Amino acid sequence: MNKIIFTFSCLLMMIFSLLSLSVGAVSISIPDLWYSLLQKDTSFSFIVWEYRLPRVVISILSGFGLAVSGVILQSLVRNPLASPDVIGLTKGAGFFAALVIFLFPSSPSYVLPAAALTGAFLVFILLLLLSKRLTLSPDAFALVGIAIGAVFQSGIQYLLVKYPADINMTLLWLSGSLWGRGWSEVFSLLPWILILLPVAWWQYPKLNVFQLGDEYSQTLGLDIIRQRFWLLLLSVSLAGVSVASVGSIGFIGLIAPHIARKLVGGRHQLLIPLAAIIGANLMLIGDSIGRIIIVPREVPVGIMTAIIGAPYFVYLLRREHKRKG
Amino acid sequence: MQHRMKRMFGFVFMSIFILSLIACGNADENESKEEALKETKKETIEINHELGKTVLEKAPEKIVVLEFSYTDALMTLDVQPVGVADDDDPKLFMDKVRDQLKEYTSIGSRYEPNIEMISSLQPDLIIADLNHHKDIYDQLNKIAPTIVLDDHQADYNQMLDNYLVIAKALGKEEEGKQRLEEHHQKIEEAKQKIGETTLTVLPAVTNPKGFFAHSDHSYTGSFLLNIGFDDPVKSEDSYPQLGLEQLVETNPQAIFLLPATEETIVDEWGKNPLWQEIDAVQNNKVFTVERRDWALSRGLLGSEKMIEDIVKHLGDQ
Repeated sequence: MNKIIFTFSCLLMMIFSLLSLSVGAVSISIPDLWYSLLQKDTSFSFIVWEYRLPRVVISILSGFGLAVSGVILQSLVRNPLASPDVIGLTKGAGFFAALVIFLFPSSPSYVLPAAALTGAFLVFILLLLLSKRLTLSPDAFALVGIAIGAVFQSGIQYLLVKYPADINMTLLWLSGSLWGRGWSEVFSLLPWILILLPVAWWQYPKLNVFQLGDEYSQTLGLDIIRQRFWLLLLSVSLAGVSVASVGSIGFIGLIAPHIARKLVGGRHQLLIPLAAIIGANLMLIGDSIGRIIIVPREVPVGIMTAIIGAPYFVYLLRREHKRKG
Repeated sequence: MQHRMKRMFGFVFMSIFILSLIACGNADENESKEEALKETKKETIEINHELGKTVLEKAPEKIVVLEFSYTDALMTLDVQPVGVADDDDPKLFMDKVRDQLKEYTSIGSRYEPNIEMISSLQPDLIIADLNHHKDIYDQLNKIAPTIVLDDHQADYNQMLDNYLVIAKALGKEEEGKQRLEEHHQKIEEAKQKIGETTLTVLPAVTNPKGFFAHSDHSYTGSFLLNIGFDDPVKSEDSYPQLGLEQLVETNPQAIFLLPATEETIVDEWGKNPLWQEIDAVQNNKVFTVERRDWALSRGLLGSEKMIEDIVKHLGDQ
């Protein structure tokens, strides 16, 4: 059964990737697409090679990063509502990105992602300080995260109110967009994901134990405070690098782990890879649809993934409710 | 455990190392590109712009522009663009530009122009804005030679400089200079008609949510300053938002409203007794003009229309 699920979702990823390469303001038929992929000098070469292919790669990489970050957080906090968004990571990154957009509008283009990454790690440090070095209970920890997120959120709101004439760029970044992402963004995201993803997978035995609760974990010989630190750092890094390159998309980190958990259960050796693939699939299909519904404009991928993911999330909550009630 | 910690630190350092390598690699690439450009022959058009130097083999024919002010400039030089980022709303062009503009393809929002469509138009020159498009400069450059100007933050004088750069890029440097001369004459003539410019004048974009003054740091404000009017706001910001009380405190002697929507906050303020305290209101010098003329078409045509409006409303009667 699990094999079928994995084969199917990988197949879906390939189909969505092809779809993402072929649809857009300029639609490219599959034979033309094939021809452009093999030969570099057709009339569609630029669109395929320089525009859509890097977008596809970034969709997949950031989908991986956000989804796996969400898996780790949900197991760590033992709360199905946990996600990089909820504990304030994306808000911190968003605030720093907004600062750059408003205060240093002419800065070179690598400053913005660097600032966003800094914001995510600043939230991490604040989490450490305010949760008494992670000794608080998971619920209290989540609440601290929410509080930090709220502060940064109000910071973003303040900037939006202070500079009302120039908020378009910020709003686009905050909703999460793949517009204009090219190979240079791919190459700054790729090494991180390539390293962090296997590291995350290797943590599966610990995450499996974590799910059981603090007492069990301690009885089973886990140094929970120290492990929490490393796992949290891992989760922050994955979300941070992803958000730095695609903007603050929070929803993938919440929804992809849930879909995966429904399909293969809570064992992390399966959960982590499946959530990653589902995260990538959501990004790919969200971006493809966002590119074609209001041509010549684009709907930011963050908005599309929420539109696609939200109905499922409501369904999930209702099912949970029925089972318990 | 210690072993594991070491491993963790190891990978963090490795990733930083790899990233910095990549960053260095990119920097090298850019330099070699610039060198390659320097070696090209004469008889070409060489343009220095915000993000480097661009060399054109010949005067471009298919031009894509990503700001309203660039369309304004193209019209004065009698050049038709093939693609314009017009926010997908042709109503945003000022009338004079729209009348002259023939067929073009809308390539969407000025903030996120549709790069696929730009590519499919196969342009031979793209004119972009520093703030909005610096992140996609590399991609645009792969489509066609791209020049990047600082338009979004430009004041009136910078716009005039930008105008000459555009004229040069189009291979119409002489015509551009002539047109600019004509522009200065028009402005001078209009100034004569206005006569005394002792008033403090405040232009402001209004919508249902607020009143956004254009200070002397903004394009419109800097133009008024250039004519000789005084800016009553004296703000560090280009577009400070004012409440009614602040507006009364600022007390401009003339106000030009540039409504972005049909109903604005000023409809509400008009009923407030405080509104009557403002000098401009008492002197009957509150005027409504088109936002597309005053704040969007930041070019020669736009500013000529602006001063025409000013002559009409504030000129010697």
